[in-house]
Amino acid sequence: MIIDALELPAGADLQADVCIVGSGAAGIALALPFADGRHEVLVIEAGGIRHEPDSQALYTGEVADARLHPPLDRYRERRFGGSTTTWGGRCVPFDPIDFEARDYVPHSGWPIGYETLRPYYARATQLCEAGECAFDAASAFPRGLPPLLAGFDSASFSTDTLERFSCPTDFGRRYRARLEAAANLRVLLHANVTGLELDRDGGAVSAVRAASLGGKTLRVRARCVILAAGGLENARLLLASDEVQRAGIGNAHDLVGRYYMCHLAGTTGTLALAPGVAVRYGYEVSDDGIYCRRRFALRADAQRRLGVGNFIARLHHPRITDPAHGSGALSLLYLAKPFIPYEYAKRLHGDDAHGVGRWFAHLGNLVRDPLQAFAFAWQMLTQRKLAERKFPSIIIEPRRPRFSLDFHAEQLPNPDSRVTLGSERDALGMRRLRLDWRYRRDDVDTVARALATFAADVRASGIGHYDYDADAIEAEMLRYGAYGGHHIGTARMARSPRDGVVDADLRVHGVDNLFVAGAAVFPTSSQANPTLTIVALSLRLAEHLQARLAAGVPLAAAAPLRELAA
Amino acid sequence: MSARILVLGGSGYIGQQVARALAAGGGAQVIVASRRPRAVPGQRALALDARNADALAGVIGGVDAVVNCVTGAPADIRANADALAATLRRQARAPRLVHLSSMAVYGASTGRVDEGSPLAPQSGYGCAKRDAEEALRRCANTVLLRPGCVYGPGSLQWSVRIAQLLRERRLGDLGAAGDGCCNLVHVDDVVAAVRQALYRDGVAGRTFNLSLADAELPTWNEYFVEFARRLGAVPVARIAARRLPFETQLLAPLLKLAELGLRQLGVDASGLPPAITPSMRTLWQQRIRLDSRRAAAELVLRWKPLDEGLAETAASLRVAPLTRQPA
Repeated sequence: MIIDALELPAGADLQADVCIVGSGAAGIALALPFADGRHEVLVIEAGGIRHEPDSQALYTGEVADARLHPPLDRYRERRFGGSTTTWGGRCVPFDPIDFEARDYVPHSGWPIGYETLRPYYARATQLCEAGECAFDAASAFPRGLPPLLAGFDSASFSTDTLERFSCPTDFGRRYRARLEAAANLRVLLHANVTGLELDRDGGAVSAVRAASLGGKTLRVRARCVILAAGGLENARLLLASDEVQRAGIGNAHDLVGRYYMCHLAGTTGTLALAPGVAVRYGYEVSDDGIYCRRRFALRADAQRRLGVGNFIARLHHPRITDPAHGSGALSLLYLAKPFIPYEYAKRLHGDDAHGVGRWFAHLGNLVRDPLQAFAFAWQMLTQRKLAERKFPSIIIEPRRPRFSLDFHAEQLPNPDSRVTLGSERDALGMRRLRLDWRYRRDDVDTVARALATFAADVRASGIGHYDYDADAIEAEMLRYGAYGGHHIGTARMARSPRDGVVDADLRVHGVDNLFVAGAAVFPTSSQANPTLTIVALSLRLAEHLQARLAAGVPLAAAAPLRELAA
Repeated sequence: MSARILVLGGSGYIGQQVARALAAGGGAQVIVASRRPRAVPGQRALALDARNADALAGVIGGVDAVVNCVTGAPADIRANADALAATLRRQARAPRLVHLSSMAVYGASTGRVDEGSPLAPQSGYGCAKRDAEEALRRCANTVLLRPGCVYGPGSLQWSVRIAQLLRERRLGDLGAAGDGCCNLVHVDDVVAAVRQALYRDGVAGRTFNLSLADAELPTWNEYFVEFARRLGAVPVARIAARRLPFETQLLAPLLKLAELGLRQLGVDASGLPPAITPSMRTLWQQRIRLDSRRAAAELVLRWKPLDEGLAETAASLRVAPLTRQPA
């Protein structure tokens, strides 16, 4: 059932067995396994079904250095379906090494291993509509594929791992009917959580406070409360709930909001292939109809040898802004920038200066190469705009065998990279976030060493050469600032409350019935995009909660429920 | 002396399978009745209008059991049931009747549905099937079977037609439109259920759902994707939500008109592409789960695993390559 807080009586008191704050990938993946079960689940969503500027404005905050991080109301959506209404759909599981404590990566190591999460990836891949859980080329393409890059012989890079693409699935739209059909599930729209109330000794959440922009307030009492509002908002809610635990909930050791990570991404260098070297630049389609793509993945032993974080790179078209590429299709994209959403346009073009001369140069490319531009526009229309399973990105076969390299690297945990509460308040009186994203020398080293290894392996394979400006790596990495949309680490998972905010069951240390779902709990960021792992962790959490509710714990929250019922 | 079993509607898909299995099993004389019977070795073919009580009365007196596989337009279904009920009531010793009903009697119900769940048919077909059950349930010695979607080699409705739609990329992963529960039952399991219902004691007056066990039931999307892969109709297409209304509201009526037109002209209409009807679209979204535990227990059935059933169905549909191997 979907209900709207705007239609509830003022001061409503709701109750449920499970209260999930947020209806994005984490929240919906957590709610669905409860469908038609014995437990009452209430999903609280701050926004409405559609994007609403007033709701979205509650996300705005302060960014310490605007060159390093996008504004806080970008790359996330305060609405039903959350940021799955705008994501790109790339699904990649974490690698086993991501869970390990690595002596060369301070603060690394998860309290759970890859094997613990592995069983949940299959269902997670299905929920993301990315087909079967086959993330290596051999199992996804049993009849074989031509090599990604013929003759590339590398002990350091694997070309066998896959990224699989979701439609990209808007979880709200896709699973709305299921959420509506289940009698024991309720989704409450337009209810912005403004604070969590703890009982007197701070050991359990006694109520969740929420308000709508219309001025209505309500409270929810639940046996379990799960924050699934995104990596930034989860931290904000914990920090803002400071009535009983003065530093904020779960923040006794000053960890909430710290270790904030994104990914380090950029496009750099030129891979020039010798004549006749076969290359598979674009997407493959698996039998189950999923767009898949191989990439150059830095193997675990190479990461250990180089002492760097996780790293992958993909073949990429030349930078769009530079008309020297001569491609009509790329120039068409440049000229179409006003029609492309901000989150994607930024990556397409960067913030280069746009002179009139450059505009004409691109127009020239378009006029000289109208066929390629037309073919590309047709593909974008039929396979992307009109298709429900969208062609994932821009693939333009270059006229000469020249590619740039698009890298996506792990950002290493850094306690000084953090979000805190600022002094300004939003329309509901909640303190806005202040975000200070930072990276370290080690992060530049990950990219620098990985690229150097790649260049050496290309040369040694005798298939061409990869040239890049080693001194410009940091600038290239930061050209667009932190990779948008991946908000990781702000409520990290650790066995001890001294090292993390939540335990291995995602329960906030010291609070009996409060849990966190989403990328906030990742202790490290991997090379992989976070959504698939967010969903897998939510599925595991759902199982844990079901077992816990069946066993009748917690006692702490049971008392107020009984009082309410009386 | 071996039992004499009359199979009504014996030229239909299920009727043929039942008759063949009963004849092959030995110990029975199988009389296959239909309006236009075909001679099949080991079976006695009989031309009979199963809507006609007098015609039925002429045969039923001499048989030990009747399997009613008659289907067709709602009026035919009702007429058959009424005629059969009237004939059976006049028998001194009622033969065992095994009547093939349908999950359509549950209509738009959702959730887990067992044999005691209320009947709420919506389609003309479903209402006729309910009325037929009503008429025949009152006869002594009747067993009612309510199969889900019967698939298997040769099943026009849920295998052959689906395969063709998958090959034409008109079906595939439907997204939210294919989230319904797909209550498949293999034709061999239906045949086994009929046999058990004929021969077992203590099942007279009982009704049985027939479908895969709960844990094995796929969603329609899962069925389409898996079946397409086994057919080699890959990559499986993702069907956009807006495509289905086009199919059901526009294409399906046009195909129906074409079919009627061709029939009028006396031309074989079987070459027309299959239609996706509004009722199929509704079914593919319906979250109804047939509970078939009673059949498994009382009729002692073991459902054919879906993997196995799909593999043999796909194999039966794979067209032999036309190219000749070099000598």
